[in-house]
Amino acid sequence: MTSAPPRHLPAGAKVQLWFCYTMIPFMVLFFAGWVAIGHLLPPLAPSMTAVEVADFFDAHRDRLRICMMMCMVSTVFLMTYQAAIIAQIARIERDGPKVLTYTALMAGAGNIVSFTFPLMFWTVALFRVERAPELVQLASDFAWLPFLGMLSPYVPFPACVAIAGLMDKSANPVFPRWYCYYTIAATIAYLPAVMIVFFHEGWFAWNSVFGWWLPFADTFTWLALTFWLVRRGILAQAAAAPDEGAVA
Amino acid sequence: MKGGHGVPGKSLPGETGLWVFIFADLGLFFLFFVLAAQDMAVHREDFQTGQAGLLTWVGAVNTVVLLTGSWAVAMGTRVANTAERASQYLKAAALSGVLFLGLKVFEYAHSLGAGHVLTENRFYMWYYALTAYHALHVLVGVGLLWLVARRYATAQRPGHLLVEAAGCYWHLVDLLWIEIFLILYLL
Repeated sequence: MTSAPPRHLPAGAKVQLWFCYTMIPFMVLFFAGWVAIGHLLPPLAPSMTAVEVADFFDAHRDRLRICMMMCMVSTVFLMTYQAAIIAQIARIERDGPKVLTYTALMAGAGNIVSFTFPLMFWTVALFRVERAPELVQLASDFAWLPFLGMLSPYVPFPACVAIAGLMDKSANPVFPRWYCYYTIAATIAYLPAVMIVFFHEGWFAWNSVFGWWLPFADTFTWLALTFWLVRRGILAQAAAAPDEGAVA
Repeated sequence: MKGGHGVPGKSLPGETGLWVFIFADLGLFFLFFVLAAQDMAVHREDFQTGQAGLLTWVGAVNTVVLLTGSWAVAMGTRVANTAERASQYLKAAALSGVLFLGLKVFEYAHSLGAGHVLTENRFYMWYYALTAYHALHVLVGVGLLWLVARRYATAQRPGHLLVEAAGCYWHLVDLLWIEIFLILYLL
């Protein structure tokens, strides 16, 4: 374990810690909205007919609207949490060309888009649930497919963290090498989710193992593990160089 | 990537980390195999007719190709006593990967030409998913071996961690192929 945190953290370290801790409201709001209020765990089956989808949205319209609002708010904190992770990449790349920082920044911003737009499409489906069932289903499909299948903005984010971690030559790297290798494996494990576009049922469908459970568990485990390491890293950096915390 | 490997106490974490990757990746393939086995038990007929339509000889040749590649990797990383020899062995191993991928494309062309697609049934779902996912691993392995071979060929010797990583990874790719070959082509 790292040394105990200094009693008075420098302002730079404090603000980084605050941003890092926003992972907690992100997870709380998302799980409260998605699971407790929305009951969307597991998600709707892609094999459901248009009428079944429309009936589901109609029967739970207000509950689902609140679910969408809460998940939408949760993404604010995903943004700030990702910023705390990117700040560590920027610290590693301090003297370099910062390409990983910029890539992670774009991927992180993309994550917010691929998170919020599906929520908006579900909201569209819920806004006039009385319209033709096929249209409700269309809006729902517009949401599910990018929500789980948009690998492009998601995958580069952990990949940048892993590469930056492996490049880190500092005495006390924030990201240990085992974590970087784990992150590469976790990123690869996300790839089968791209197959959701092919299947309405089976292991690769969006409500099954490779479309939902594996990416879902993978993402939240990674975010939680990364939280622990980034928090530990910020405290260690503040302890090692109390004046440098402000630079990061 | 160069440097850093000679730092005392640094080599063990690197190796341990690599094994985290290997076991995590093996774990994912294990999940693939368990679910495929379950589908095989439920959709027995699809698997039998599907298997009969595959070019088993191409799969067998590819097994030999990858095993030869693994031998070349072992020679290049452990036996070769000059950098030039090591580079040649590793380039040969990388070429075995390219040959494997070429045969895989030929096999896909054959299956697709016969009208078999990913969504046809559970057998073809696993056939395309497992082999494509494995082929992606081969592609990465070819790049990794070529990188190490080039470092040997130039004056810049690769760090032993990189050589070991490339070697272990290639053996992993080989091991996974043998399992895939068994499940899809033979069982």
